[in-house]
Amino acid sequence: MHLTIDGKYIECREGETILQAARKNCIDIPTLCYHPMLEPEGRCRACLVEANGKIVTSCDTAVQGGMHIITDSEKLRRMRRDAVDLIASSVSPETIKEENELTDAMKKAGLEKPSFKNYKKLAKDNSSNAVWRNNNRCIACGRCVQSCSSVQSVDAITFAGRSNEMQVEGVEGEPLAKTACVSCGQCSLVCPTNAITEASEVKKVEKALKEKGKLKVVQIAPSVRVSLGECLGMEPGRIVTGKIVAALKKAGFDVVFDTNFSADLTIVEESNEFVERVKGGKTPLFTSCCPAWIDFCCQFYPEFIPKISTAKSPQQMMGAMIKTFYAGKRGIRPGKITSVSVMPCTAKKKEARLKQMRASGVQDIDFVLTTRELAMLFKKKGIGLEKMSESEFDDPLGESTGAGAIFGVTGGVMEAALRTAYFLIEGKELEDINLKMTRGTKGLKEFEIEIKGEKFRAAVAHGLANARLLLERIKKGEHFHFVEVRACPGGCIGGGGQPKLTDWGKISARAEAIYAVDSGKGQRKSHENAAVKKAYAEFLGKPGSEKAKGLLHRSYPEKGKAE
Amino acid sequence: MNSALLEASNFEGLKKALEKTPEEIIAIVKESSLKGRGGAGFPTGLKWEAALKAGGEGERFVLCNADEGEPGTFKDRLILTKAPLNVIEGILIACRVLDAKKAFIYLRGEYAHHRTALDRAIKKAKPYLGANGIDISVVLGEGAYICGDETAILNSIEGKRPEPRKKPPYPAEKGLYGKPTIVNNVETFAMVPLIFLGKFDSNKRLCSLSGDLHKAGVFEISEGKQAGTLLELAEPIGIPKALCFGASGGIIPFDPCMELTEANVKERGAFPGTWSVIVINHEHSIVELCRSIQAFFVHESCGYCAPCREGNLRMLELLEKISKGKGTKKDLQILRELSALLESSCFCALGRSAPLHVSTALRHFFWEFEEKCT
Repeated sequence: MHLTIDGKYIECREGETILQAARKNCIDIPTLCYHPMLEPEGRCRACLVEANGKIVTSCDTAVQGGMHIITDSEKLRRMRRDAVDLIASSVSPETIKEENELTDAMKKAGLEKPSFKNYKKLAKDNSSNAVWRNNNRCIACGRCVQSCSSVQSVDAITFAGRSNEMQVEGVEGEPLAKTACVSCGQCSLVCPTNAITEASEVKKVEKALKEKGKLKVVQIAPSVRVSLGECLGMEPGRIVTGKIVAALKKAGFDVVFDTNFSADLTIVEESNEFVERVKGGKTPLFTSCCPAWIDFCCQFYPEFIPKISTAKSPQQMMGAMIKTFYAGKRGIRPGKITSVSVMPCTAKKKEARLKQMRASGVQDIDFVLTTRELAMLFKKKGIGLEKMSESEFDDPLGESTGAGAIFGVTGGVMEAALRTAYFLIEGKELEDINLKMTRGTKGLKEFEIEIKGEKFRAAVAHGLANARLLLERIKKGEHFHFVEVRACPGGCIGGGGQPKLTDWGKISARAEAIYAVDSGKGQRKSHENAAVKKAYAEFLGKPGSEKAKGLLHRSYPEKGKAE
Repeated sequence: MNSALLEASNFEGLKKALEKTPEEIIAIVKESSLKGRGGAGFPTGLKWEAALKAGGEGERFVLCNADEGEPGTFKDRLILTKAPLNVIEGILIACRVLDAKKAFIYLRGEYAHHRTALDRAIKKAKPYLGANGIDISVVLGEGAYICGDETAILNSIEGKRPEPRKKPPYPAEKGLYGKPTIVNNVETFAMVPLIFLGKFDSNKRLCSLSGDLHKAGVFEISEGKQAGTLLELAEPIGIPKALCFGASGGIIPFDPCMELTEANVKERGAFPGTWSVIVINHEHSIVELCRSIQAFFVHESCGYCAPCREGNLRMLELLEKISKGKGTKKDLQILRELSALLESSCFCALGRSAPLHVSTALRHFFWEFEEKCT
């Protein structure tokens, strides 16, 4: 099929939109509400073009063969500028003083400052300890609402009111903390104006870093090392592990540990649990590393709570190990340690504050920063990541295998767990540890694997709407032995705390980087991690021991979100 | 008032229609030249044909739009009280076309007191409903102007936020619950049985007259009637200056010799819609009229798209400023630019017609605005 855009003859495919066809041919049309991972809703009207003499929005108008499209005329430029002007005029002045998608659209539309006076004076919603909302910055693009509804099937937020009083609210006007919100933060990931953000802890961490007499320990999650670079001007999928370690030290942290270590630890505990459950006929086993998924399951499918692994998430295992095992080694009380984690995730902020996450007697993790917040901290401190030399993680919680690395991507926990579970059941290692059937961006992956003559059915879901479809099938009687669920599309590399403007292309680049970290490791199976073995020998005993249960496992509420 | 358009069919029209096949019914409706009476004026026969031809399995629906929310429009209310059975017959004939078993009447919330008459009519039609396994439900609106838009009604009935849907797909293809749905206005359905009785005249329609009149009300007009002749029937108060077509149709100067045709109204930049005419006499300021209509749109914008949500508010601010004598020539320029933006960029037809009163007033009564500006 062919059409012309501004007189240029171009090829296009049936089902494509005008915007897609134009962008493929490097013709840029400003957009605001459009997001490549969501359905176009045509709310902002900033992408106006002329198609066969009619003004249409390019984001939601399908191409037709022989269409004549004009994107660049005086009239269209003025209309697009006016549309952006109306939107820019509606937000608080601070919103247009920073770099975001709105100010970017203003630049593209040739609008220096808004023409009309801002009028919004709305209350903020900081009720959740994962996600904050400031409607004075909101341009009602609808991305957050669609994400919460279509991608996550949670429907915690909605539009309420009409005309210029319309705003995003918790369902039935409730503060976010009282809604079904699972803290995944996908809303903050897609928000173009930072009206929805993570519950910020940057200032708290800055203050904590200045505190004397405390040991400042930090851990970084598997996916942060392949995404942080994007926030700081590097190409998607750049692996910056060593640079982050060096930069964190420069920022004032004394000790930098690797969450990949505790991911290995999680796998050892969880695989052990899986083997026990198989023996006891108590499958399926659901993974437990994603706190947003846990909140989802506990609220919408409480009948499956007993099926969730009791293993804590890698963040919380690390948190417990730092303030017990490591504190003991250093000979200091847990209260003398400030433990910070850097996560791709907003739900981890809430998880760290759960009442039961105090294995050391005090709160195991004191502060959680998202990838975006760490970038902000580095910027504030004037630390240029690109120029940093590479440093190594500290011992004894810094060593990891490739299995720990792939925790960051959908299917990774399944792959890592099967590498170890196979060994535990079969008594020998997998021939090919690259379990390709767990990989890829398909929303629901299902497969069978034979271990010791027995067939095991497994499923991997990412995006809670996909999880819901799977759970409904299980409810109707389908049986799986092992199920991995991650709330965010793509897994943690697409997490709610990751760099803005995330799309499937960037998620794929990050995934490739994660698999590169895995294949670059000498050890690629969690049970081969020497530091993990040492931790068991010196401190934990054996997998599933009383001590391991006390420190590395958790319980769940009977119904509803964990507090 | 008495009009042949309100003559009771007493099931005679329905009986005749039920003898026909869906294709025959569509051919007859097409032949009649009946066009939608809800404002957009789309040929009814074509709409029904599109719904019949729409693919897909499962249910089909018929929906009567009785959310008569356009200011100055009240002809559907008259039909609902005087000839509700004709509406039911029209709905049943549409059900016959689609083999639909479920029909809805979306009744304007403020018309709740007309529900009794409707329910009585539905009860009276029971033999025809039961025999064909059809159920008609009356759904009460909650007072949103946007629900005059057929796709917003679909969302409302489905329990969703009443916002318009992107067209295409049209309701005829993907309507209620994604199924082919015939959506027509009250007056349109009421005309259908008359077609089968040979009593329908496509040149005649109902017109709501209000404003500076002694005898405001519903009148029957025929295509090409002179504006002066029509107004005489309603006895104007003072000297008419302008005709205002509801809130969304625009304002044109009153010309007694102007023949009331859609083309003539359109030529003046306005749109007759449902032919609700608000007569404005010389004592009223057009600027004030625009400000008042604008306040209506600021209240009623659903908020879905930015130009309607934010643009109407800014237009009201400008009109308030001008109305207070504080406006400038530049403000008039911005007002013109905003109304042009809304007319061509809003998501739905209601949003696109919201600024029509300003653009037509600036065209025909510019001096009234200029006089108030410095």
